[in-house]
Amino acid sequence: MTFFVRCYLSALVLVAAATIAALPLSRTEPILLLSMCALMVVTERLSRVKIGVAGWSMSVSLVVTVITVLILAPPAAALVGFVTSLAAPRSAEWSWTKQIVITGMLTLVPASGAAVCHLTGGRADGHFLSFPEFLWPFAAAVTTCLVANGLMFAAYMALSDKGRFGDVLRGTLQRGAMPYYSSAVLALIFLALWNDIGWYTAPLVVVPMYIAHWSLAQYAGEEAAHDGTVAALVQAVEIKDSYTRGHSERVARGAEMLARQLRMPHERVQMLRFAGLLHDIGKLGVPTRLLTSTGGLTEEEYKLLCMHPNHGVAVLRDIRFLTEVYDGVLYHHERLDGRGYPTGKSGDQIPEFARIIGVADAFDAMTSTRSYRAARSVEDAVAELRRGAGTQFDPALVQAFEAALELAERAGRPWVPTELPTPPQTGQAAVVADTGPWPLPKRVPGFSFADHDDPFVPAEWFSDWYPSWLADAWEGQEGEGPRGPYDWPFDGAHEPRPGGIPGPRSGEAPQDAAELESAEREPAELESVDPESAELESVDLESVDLESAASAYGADLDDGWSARMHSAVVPEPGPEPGPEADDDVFPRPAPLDVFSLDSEEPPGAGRLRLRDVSRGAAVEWAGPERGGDSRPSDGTGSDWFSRGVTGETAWTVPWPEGSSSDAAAAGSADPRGAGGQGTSGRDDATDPAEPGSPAGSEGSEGSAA
Amino acid sequence: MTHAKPAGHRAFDPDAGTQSAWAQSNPVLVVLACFIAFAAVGGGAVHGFVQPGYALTFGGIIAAGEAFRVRLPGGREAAPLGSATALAYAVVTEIGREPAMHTAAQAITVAAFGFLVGSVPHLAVRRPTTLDHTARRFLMVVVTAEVFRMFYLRWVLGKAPDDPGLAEAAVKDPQFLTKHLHSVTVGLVTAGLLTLAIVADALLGALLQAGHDRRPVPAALRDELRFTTRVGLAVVATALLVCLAARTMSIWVLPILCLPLTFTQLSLRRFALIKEVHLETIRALSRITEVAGLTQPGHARRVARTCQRIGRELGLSEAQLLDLEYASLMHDIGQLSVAEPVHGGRTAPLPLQRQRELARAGAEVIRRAGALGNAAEIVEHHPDPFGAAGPLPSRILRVANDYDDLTGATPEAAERTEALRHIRLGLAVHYDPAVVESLSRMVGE
Repeated sequence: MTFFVRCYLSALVLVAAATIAALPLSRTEPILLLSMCALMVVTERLSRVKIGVAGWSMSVSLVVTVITVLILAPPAAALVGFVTSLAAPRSAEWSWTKQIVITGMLTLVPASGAAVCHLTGGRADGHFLSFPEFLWPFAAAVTTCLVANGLMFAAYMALSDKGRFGDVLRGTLQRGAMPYYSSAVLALIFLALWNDIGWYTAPLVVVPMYIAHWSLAQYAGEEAAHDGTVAALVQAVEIKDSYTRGHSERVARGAEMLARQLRMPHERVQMLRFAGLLHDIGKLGVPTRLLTSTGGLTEEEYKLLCMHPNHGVAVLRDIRFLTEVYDGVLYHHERLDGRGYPTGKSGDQIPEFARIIGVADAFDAMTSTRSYRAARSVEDAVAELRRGAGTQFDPALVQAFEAALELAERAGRPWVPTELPTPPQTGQAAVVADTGPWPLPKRVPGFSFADHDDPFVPAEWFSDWYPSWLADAWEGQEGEGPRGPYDWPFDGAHEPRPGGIPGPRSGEAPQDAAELESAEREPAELESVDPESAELESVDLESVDLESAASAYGADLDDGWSARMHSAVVPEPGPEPGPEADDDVFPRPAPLDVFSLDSEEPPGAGRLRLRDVSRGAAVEWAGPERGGDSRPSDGTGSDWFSRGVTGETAWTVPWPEGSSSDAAAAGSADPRGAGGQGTSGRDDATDPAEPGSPAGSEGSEGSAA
Repeated sequence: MTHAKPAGHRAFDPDAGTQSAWAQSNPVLVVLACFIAFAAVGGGAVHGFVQPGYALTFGGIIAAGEAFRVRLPGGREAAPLGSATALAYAVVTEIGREPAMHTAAQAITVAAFGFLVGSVPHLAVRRPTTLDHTARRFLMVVVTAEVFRMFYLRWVLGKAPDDPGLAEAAVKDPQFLTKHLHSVTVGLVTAGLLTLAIVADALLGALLQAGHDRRPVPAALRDELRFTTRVGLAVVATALLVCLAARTMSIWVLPILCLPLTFTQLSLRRFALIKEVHLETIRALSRITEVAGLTQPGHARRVARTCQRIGRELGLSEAQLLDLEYASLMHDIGQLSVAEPVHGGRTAPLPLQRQRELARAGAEVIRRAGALGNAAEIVEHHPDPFGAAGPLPSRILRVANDYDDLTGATPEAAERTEALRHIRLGLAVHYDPAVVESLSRMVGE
């Protein structure tokens, strides 16, 4: 306890004692005093109802307090408050310091209210019935109580370094206003009816108050339930991956800290918290295999991974009131220098929510244990944030986040790195990486697992495929090179090639022979590895699943009903729009079927043309660094995907015959996923593309500006 | 980025739609209310209006209460402030130690104008709403005003309402109109009258609901009364308090006494807002399994809609319906946590054991989320065959789920019939006959 807190507490005690000592001067009737004391103690012990999480409390004892303020002299009101504070039930975190503060407040607040009531002339005879004259002293007294309560509490909190004076005062006033005034009205009407008609009408006042109380409780309960439910659902969803468990919750906390540091209004803080909770919800749309990938990702896989913000907004698109959350989720992997995804926005084009979540996301990714490394310390992570400030993160936000971390530490809730009790079993993981059942086309040695949100793992390591926009962005920068602050640790074989995209960019007709070769090698590898899986692939996926399932569970307590149901299932013609898609003009942001087989190709040709089917739905690339690419945007917003794989002309690769699944090419490249086990080969083609994605329109706005 | 979303995208709310307010209202009720309002205005004009200041004050608060009325999830509307003020004006007899001389026609006119002015903002922004609730409140005020003014003047004071001697007597003896107010009997009868009006309103609401979507009257009445015992009681108490306290405290008491109800209305408003956000969030999160490719697109929401319609028809209470909605939206979420999810997400053809395994996993997730009522239990038991005697919401969920698995998103008429035929084959063994009956009625429409 600091010196100032001691001084404050002693001052409280002294003033309270002096006030009570003046009791003989007020000539209060002892019987009235005693009965009020008894009433207060009884109500305080019996009827204190705590409502909600934010400390909204309303109680009959507050009503009795206001009655004492209105009918008693200041010293008497102080005495009643003093007795009440001693009799109040003690909570779990009771301490002598808190008891002194509470006693001082409960003593001095009614006394100040009663004094103001006296001074403004509220003590004439029969004053409860003289309306509206009595309203002014009444309102002054109640407001005095409210403000005095807020001031004393805020002073204590500020002196003991638990919060800023202004913030605490504002919060206390906001929370206290409604209970105080409603209780005061109850007290006033109660006294008036008692004086005028008789005691039996007075309790009638309780009914509307009780209902107001009830509706407030409903609201508070619903709000708490809402927060808790969404958090728990998100947690339940991420339960499969032990390394990112709790990640969303922590990102929400980080974003909330940052928002409070930036003094955002309460509603926006709540929205931001919500956005933090939901920012990675779209990862469910990415095959698990990619998220826990052993080794680098191919271009298609990386593209699929980059779609996760779009999947996220596909989930959230129907929630109204959430436009900012929507922005936060969609753009949280944008970078300040425009090298992020999905749209490559840069600078101020990135919405504030997205920038905040980007910082919080990266920070938590660094300070938590991942399968390929232990959790970093807070200092390391902050240093990394500082290093990325200006290129990846907003410098102002990084600075604010440091301040927020310091504040949290001072408040006794420091950010603790999330360390898993058992260290990651790198040995086993390495074995899996080496002998995995699926072909690993271009593996990055040394990094068996990598996470998409970890700044310690730059995109260059994460994927050995070079994102085309990165190449574009770096084309103009001499000297700096594509590696940024990182040193490329690998040998020449894995040296990234700027512009190493399989297939020509539009306008550049000649094709890099090496690239074409590498592109053609992959599927050939696939084919040679597991012909059986390719065989399975050619059969209708659905019927395979059902058949195998039916045979596996053929004989159990079900009396053949499942077989009947199975035969009755109408075959699915393909991805079908939901019934609400017709009248839904809300743009659907996520084209999930990125590539599909070109049906115009003769089936016997044995060649697959990867085609952009998301025409008009994909995200438009509109970064300002894009001056090098002179191809005019066709306005359909499809060039994000067709940058490397232009629609009509090129990149035809050999492919097993008869593949009919509309799963993404990357998905079907995994024989394990296509096989009967069906563990990881999720069908990504569930959400049909629809023209006019919000990202696309946003992008075109950006380019217009 | 702002998205102007059409009102029609909320396809789940059975009452909301793109239709205008007129199209959704019960014509008989609205016409009746309009007729009474015109008659009252005419009658009031003949007799003349008295004490316009008080009338304006009451009318203003009625209009404000109406303008900020709350639309609760489930289609119910709450406007306790407007109702209480209108009722109080109907039964008030003395304001500031002066008799309140207004007739029943004047009370009805004030209420009518208050409700009308308060509804203008809602109609102006074309909020998807119905006029039924406003008409109900208005009729409640009409009945109360007519009966009370008749009862009080004729039987308590012994004068007919249009007796010219009444005004003279009131002028002669200032206490003439209110000297009986202190009598406990008169107070009790007034309270009883107000309570009766509220209950009649609930009954009317239940009948309307039953007519609207074949809801059984007892179930609808139970829900209405449950709501009435809360908010309706506060309305009655406030009206009585205004009537009693206005005697000494004059018109000032009106805004003060309206404060608790204002708080109630504001709390309910925030409650409704957060409830709606919550429901929309759950609906959106039900899309997780779709994005992950583990259910058909739109499956959860179609099942939820079917469940709601069947559940309403079978007389589930509002709390049960809400639980059922959560359960039906989340019933496939277990797919995310089992090791081998069902690709494509059609659980109907699966063997019972596997269905149960998925359902248990889903129930576990929902239970961990908490605060979703009995949804976990409903999900856990929904694969149970009819013989296993799961709870009714589970049986509904099972039928709705299997039907949707059989038909898909946009079934043809033949497909629907075929699916229904298959469901009928499992009648009474796997499916609850009552639920299937309700489903086939729904399909038949």
